[in-house]
Amino acid sequence: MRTFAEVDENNIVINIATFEDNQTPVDLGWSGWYETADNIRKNPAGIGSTFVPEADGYPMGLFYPPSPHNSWGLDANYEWGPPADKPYPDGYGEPPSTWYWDDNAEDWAEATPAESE
Amino acid sequence: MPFGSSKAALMGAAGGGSTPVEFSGYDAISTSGDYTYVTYASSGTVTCVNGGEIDLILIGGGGGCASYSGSNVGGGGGGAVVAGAGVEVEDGTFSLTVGAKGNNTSAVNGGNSSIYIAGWYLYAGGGGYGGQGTWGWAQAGAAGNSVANGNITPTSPYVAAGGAGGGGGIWYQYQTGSGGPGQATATSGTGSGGGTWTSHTSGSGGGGGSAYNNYGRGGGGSGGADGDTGSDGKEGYNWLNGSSYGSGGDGGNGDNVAWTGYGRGSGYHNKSSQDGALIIRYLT
Repeated sequence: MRTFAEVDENNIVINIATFEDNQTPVDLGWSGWYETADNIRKNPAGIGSTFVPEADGYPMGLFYPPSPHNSWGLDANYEWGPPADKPYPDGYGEPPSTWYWDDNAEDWAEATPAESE
Repeated sequence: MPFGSSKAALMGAAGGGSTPVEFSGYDAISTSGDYTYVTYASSGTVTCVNGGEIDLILIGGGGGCASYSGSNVGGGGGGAVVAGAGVEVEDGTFSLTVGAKGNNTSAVNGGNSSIYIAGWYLYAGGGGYGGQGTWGWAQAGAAGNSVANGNITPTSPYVAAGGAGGGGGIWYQYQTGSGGPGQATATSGTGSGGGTWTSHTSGSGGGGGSAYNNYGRGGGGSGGADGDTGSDGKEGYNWLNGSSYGSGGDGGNGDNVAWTGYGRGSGYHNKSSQDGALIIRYLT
């Protein structure tokens, strides 16, 4: 089985579907479908992903996902990151850092432990 | 959208005489009791050689999750199901799209299954992904795909079922992600093949609860069972063959509730999510 992503006229993924190895969209005469998997085109495609037909290092193009957080930006490598004036806090994502991105405030905040049971 | 079916015959309801219903091009065929079951597990064409009355179920792809090896990650929601009974199908060849399972290393919803058959456009949305659960981030589970959230764009007359929601992730004792909302079935018009169709709302993913319960929450089931603050994925829709489809993935704990079947969301114990499918049954 192989997985293909259907892309609309704006290069937005509108579906992902499964096909037999010998019955791909090309074989079926379906247009606008591009193969997706873990190890090709940078990221696996999902509905809402964007397809970039030509990108450095990716001759078959790449997919990048929607932004994971409000107000984050896309860099030249098609990676999402916080705004330039709000860089990652030291140690972000590793204990004991308690920083997280607050999507409502669109800024970093520090979490406090929840009440124990 | 590969809905361009080419009906070979448009005259009258087929199968009314002594000629039994027959399909070709399927991936599997079996018999049980008085019925024959044919299963289509990949996209392509469905050919009805001899038309007549059928029951069918169309299942969307199960929701993925950021990492099914991480017990803090939420389980994927089950793919939606559209089930019809007493549907009159005519001879012809119909294009089928089988929604793919959501990727299991990224937060990706399952894909939508769709087919035009018996005068109906049928859609089964993919399940929502389970939320990431890692240090610094307890991601909410995603809603399943539906007409309401714009992930299905239907053509009338249609039955379009929305997928179940994914479970929320956990950031150890700091945060719990909310569950993704299960999505409703939308309908419009009446297809020429008639029949009785499911109209339920899929279950929401689990979320919230104590962050000291250090496991991602379970995914919702497409039959309507909501997730809760526990980690078990919920059972999907139990069809006429006694099997459940579109069950939620588990968020990872010791209970090891791991459903099987097409359209299941990914989870800690049941691992990879499952693609959708189309299953048709008719009297042998």
